[in-house]
Amino acid sequence: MRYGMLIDLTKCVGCNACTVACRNHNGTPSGISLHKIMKYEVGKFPHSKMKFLPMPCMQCENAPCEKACPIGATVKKSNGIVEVLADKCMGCRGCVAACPYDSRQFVWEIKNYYEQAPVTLFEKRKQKEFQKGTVVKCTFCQKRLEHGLEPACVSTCPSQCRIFGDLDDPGSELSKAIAAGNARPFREDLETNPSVYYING
Amino acid sequence: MNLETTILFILCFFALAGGAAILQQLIHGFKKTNLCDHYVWGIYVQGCFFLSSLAAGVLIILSVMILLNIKGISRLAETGSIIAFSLFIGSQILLGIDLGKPSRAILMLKSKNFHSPLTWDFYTLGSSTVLCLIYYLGILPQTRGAMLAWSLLSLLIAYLCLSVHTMFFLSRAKGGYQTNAFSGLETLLSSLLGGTALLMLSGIQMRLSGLLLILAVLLLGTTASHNIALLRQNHNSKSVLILNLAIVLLLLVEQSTEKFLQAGSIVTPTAGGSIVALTAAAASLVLVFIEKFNAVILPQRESILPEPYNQFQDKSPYRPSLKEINVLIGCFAICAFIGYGLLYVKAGW
Amino acid sequence: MFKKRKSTYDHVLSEMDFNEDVFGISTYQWQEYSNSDTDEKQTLHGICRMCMQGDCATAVHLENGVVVKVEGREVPPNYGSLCPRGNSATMNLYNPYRVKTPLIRTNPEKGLNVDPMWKEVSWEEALDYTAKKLKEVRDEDPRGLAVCEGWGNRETIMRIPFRLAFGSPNEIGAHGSLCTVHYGTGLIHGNFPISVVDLEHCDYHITLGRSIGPNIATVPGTRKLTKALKRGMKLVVVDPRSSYEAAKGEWVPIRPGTDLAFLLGLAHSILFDVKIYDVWFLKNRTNGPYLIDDQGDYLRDEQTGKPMMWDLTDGIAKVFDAQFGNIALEGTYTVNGTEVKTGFEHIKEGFRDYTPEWAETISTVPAQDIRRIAKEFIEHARIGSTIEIEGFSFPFRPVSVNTERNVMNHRGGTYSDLVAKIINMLAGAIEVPGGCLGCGYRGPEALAPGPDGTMMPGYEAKDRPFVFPPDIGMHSFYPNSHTTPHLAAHALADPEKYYLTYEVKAWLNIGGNIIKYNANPEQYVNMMKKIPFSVSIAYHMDEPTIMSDVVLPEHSFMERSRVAPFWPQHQAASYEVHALQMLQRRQPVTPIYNTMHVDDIFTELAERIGILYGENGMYDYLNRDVDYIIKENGLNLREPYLLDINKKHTLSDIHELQVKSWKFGDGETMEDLERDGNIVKWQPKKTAYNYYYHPDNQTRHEFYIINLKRTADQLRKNLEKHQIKFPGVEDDSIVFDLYRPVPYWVPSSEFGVSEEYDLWAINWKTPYYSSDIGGVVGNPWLAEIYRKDPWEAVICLNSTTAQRKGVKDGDRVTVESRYGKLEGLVRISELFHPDAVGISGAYGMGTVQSNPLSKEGPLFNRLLTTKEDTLDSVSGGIEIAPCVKIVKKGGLA
Repeated sequence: MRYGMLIDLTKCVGCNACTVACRNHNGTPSGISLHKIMKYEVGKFPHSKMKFLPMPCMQCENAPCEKACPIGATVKKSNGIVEVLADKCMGCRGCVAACPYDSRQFVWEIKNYYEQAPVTLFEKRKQKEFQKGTVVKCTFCQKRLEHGLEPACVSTCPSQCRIFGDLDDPGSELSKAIAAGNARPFREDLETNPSVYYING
Repeated sequence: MNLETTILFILCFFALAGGAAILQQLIHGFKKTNLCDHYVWGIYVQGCFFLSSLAAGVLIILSVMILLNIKGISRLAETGSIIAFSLFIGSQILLGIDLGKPSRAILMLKSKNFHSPLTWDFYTLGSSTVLCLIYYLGILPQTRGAMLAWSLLSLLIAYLCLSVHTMFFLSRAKGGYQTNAFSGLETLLSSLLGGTALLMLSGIQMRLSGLLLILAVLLLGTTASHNIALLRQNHNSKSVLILNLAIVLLLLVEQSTEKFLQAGSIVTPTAGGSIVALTAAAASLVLVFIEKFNAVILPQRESILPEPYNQFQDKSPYRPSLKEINVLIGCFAICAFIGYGLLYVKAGW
Repeated sequence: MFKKRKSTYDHVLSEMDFNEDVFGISTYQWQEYSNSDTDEKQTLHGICRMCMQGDCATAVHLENGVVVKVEGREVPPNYGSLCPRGNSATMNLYNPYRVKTPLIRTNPEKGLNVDPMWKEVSWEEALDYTAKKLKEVRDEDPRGLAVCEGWGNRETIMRIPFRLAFGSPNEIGAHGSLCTVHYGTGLIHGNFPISVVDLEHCDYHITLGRSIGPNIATVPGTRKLTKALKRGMKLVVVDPRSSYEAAKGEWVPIRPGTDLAFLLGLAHSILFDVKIYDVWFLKNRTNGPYLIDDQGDYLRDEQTGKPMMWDLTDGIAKVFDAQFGNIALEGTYTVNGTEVKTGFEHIKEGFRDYTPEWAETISTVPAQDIRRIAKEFIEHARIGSTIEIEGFSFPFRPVSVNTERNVMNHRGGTYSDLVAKIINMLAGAIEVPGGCLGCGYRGPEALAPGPDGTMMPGYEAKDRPFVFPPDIGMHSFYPNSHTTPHLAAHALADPEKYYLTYEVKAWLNIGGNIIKYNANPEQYVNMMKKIPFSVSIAYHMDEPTIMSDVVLPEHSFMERSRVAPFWPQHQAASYEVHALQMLQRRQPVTPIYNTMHVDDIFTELAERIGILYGENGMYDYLNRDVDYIIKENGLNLREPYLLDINKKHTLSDIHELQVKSWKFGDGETMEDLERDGNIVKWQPKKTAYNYYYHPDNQTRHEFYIINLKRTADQLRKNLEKHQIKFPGVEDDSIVFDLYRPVPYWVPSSEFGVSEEYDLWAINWKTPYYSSDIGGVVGNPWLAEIYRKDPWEAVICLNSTTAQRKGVKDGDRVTVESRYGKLEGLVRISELFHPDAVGISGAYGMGTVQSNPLSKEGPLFNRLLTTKEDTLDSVSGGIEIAPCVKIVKKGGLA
């Protein structure tokens, strides 16, 4: 069982519903997002286009962050997800420096969403789940997986560009779609063996 | 009260002020610093690398001298071990306060993940500190064998400490940027340069300017060749190069007014050093500091992601906040206090 | 002296209790609030309202009474998806900058940055006071009340009944003057608000000045477009900006404000280069073959008065519903000694000079591209083909060209709208599978023919009656306009010039913001300053609210109980929602502040004013209310479930009756709706295409736009009858020029100005900002992302233009039109036409008591004007691409 994801870039419209859904589900503190979309342009006028690259954590098989952690707070679980044990992390940010996908974030401080206002009821509950001075990262919404749901970014996508499933199962919808779309992971040359594949678009 | 006690009290005061700044950092976290997602490591880590680099340099010089059985260096070795010890303490303080949760650092002993450069850092810094302390306290048996063992161990561990610091940003490795992980000749040379400079500035009665010159020339060689090889790329060490040239010139000037390299000894037991030499030494420290800036902070300026994905990412430079500078200077003050204090005690002032 | 206020609820300040010299002391400070006291996990059915569409079904998860997650439900119309705004809805609820309690002003001075010195009052006091003031106005002259509405709250069912019971004709829509896109749809499709494309079948879609979905990240549009593209549909995006949608198809860069020229060139090319069009459609389903007399009206048969067509077989003119051998579509014929042309011939001749080369000089779109697109459009139209859906045979025309506000909001904008319709008619792609569909009503009334055999104009294409004196919105002079807050502002500033014989003494604001989201903000601020009494039913302390005398805080949308019918969607259509009749339910979250449901506010006010009960009371009007968009298919109260007009009803009572009244219901009640969150009744798919109700030659669309001519003729008659001039313009030919039956090239007011103003500013909605519904500008989850977005809230310039002007990325510049200016940081981008200055969304302004986020960023609206000679006179639309110049801060550019 190795969880993986396929993102079809021909369908992605760069709306960031996934990024906000991630915040919606995980309640990460202000300024911290476990998901991001890199937006850029290609071509020169009049042949220019917007392009987008949504990036959850790649959950690499050969994770540089796991190697970089001196205290064993980053572990790769048997289901393929790379997890940070928040109670162990000492906040050295070696993993943040080591990740070639910029997927990890350090909780510098826990600020309120509405900066100059008191904390909202939502945050009162969610801020407890985060420790200042530790590192956080995307875990494919582990809590949702336990209930048989897909990660928040997958289920919310308006253009339905993501497929989630088991990479180890060649019959799964995910594996078939990866094969059919000739999907490759991002920055393959770094040999991190990521679990997130992209169909070029 | 004599001069030395006055100095001690002054340093004590600054050390306490430094301690207060450090405590504030520990309690309030990173709120008032300019560290952010773009620059996760700032002048704390830079300072740590700087201090440990100097300390390792001193330690390497000492152990090489002992290995080569050079005579008359006991005073030098004593001073050197004190300096190295205080600097190692300082670098570990800086490393510690840079952590999000410093109290958990001790758990590194349990996890033993030797894939991580930080683990090596932890162990090498720790053991180097212990080695220095051992020498200072004089618990080392005065036999040749023990000294050899000590110096060999120190040499290896200090060198390992240095090389590990070249490994931290392989995630940003592209053609041209410090892909020489373990060889790190530049790092070694600048560390030795800094160590020598520090020894010169510590007022020992020994002439080290010749050694400084040789190291400076060698460093110039490697930096220059690095720059030539990467002519088209905007390589980091331009400022280092310029400073390096300045140091070489200064020392050449100094040497030309004195007897140049008296036969058989680079290190001569004459009075401390001329103003020119001391200026060169101070400049060397600055050079090492800038080199560490280039090693720690400059690589973070570029985006982690390659082009074109990083097209609109923030590429502004890093400026340390006042709080960070305070803490750094405070830490230097603590090092100075510890070092001076230990000297004070040893000399029975 | 300086007084410290600890808790804002602890005591109520008496009037003038504090020293006016003291800065910043006001009762309006946000305050900590306490938890609700339910203890368990709960999931409520929700309907999102973070954008105009407002129909995505959500599940609102609560723990201990706190909303912890909002996600999409796997039901129509969004099938589990939710856009970025929908996902950020929690911050709309837990917004500390909301108005939390009723407020009454104590500082007589009004201004955006003037502290009103609010006095917190109880609901009783606020409602009594407001009702008293409104009753005074009503007793004097009920027309003295103006109700200003907007997208901030389009869920109220009482607003219109309240105003009608009050007796005022004056309803101002804050939102519409920058989105005047309804005429063509009303005229050709009998529908409202706009026309969309059938993405289920369309093969070739040309889109201009709008969003199908991805540009503003709406779920329904994005879902459908993605599927259509995967199916192989070709998308052509004509836009000065290479947008999100352009990235998925072909981008045709165009100079801002010149879409009319492009469309004329395209129509010309079809007529004269490709020379293939849907002759059957044009002959049988348009007034193209109708013969036109020398006055420009239909040539009518002397006996019957019916319009006539020429029979090529018999060589004579006959009435349109006679038996024909072969209807003449084109040509000039002699009838009773006079030479007459067909309507089609008029249009064709009218377009003869609009060659693609001509279009290129104006729009910068290469002539060869225009020709190629025309050819591809017709090729993909499969003229002559049919498709069978559920046993019914439809013409199959899988092409459509659609336009919206960035095309229509110029002088000549209505012409652009109509030329696009003409192009669709040339392909026969109106109300058939694959083609262009009206996005609202599905039923027989849409295309129902009138006595002339042509369908009756609907909605805004249907002229409003000429009343004199006019209402403050000047609808008498702009009978086909959308909303006209700008004309109201002109009229209130100079009532004599606009023939107003009464004063507006009360202003009720519900969901609208004319100060920020229109043009020339000072004009509206001054207008509001002059009105003696204004009340704002408000969510947060926005610009109109801080100018008000009384603030009645309403629920945020998650706290607002609602039962809604499904309105077919604004950007696109497909089988996902085709022929879907549905009721949706929003179960409210317990309110966290001392707010009220807007409809309860209206009920309480109506009761106190004395207009709630009895005949012509609010309940009576509610009983008579018919859904404006979907007519009989809406949630209208019907016998035997009408309200007892002499009794007070709660909102739940009314919902219960509405559900029972629903046309498609099968005995369902609120209980069913409460349990399931919706009641879904799929109708046969064939009923989604209005062709179904009037197939073959049973109705005709206007190809020759006689309706414009008739409206103009009637308007002229009315002006003469009342011996008045058209208000607000020097020379009324500027108005009547836009009412010709054959569209022609009209340059907007922003062309040929001067060399100094050499660029045109453009605006667009974005995934974060699709109108400030739900307070998206101040939402921190969205702000976190839009601040990092490369093209958001910055001034985008083409790289060549920037070089020419000597500006670099990140420079601070001033963008200045002839009407106003704004400042911002430059973003150099390849995605923009060299003549365009791109400023997205609508950021900035704010008030002294608003969310700080609402004050950041450039406000595009400052560049605009409301002057009558710049408007499109038919729709009343404001010019949206003003010519501008760029000045670098501290020097020239």
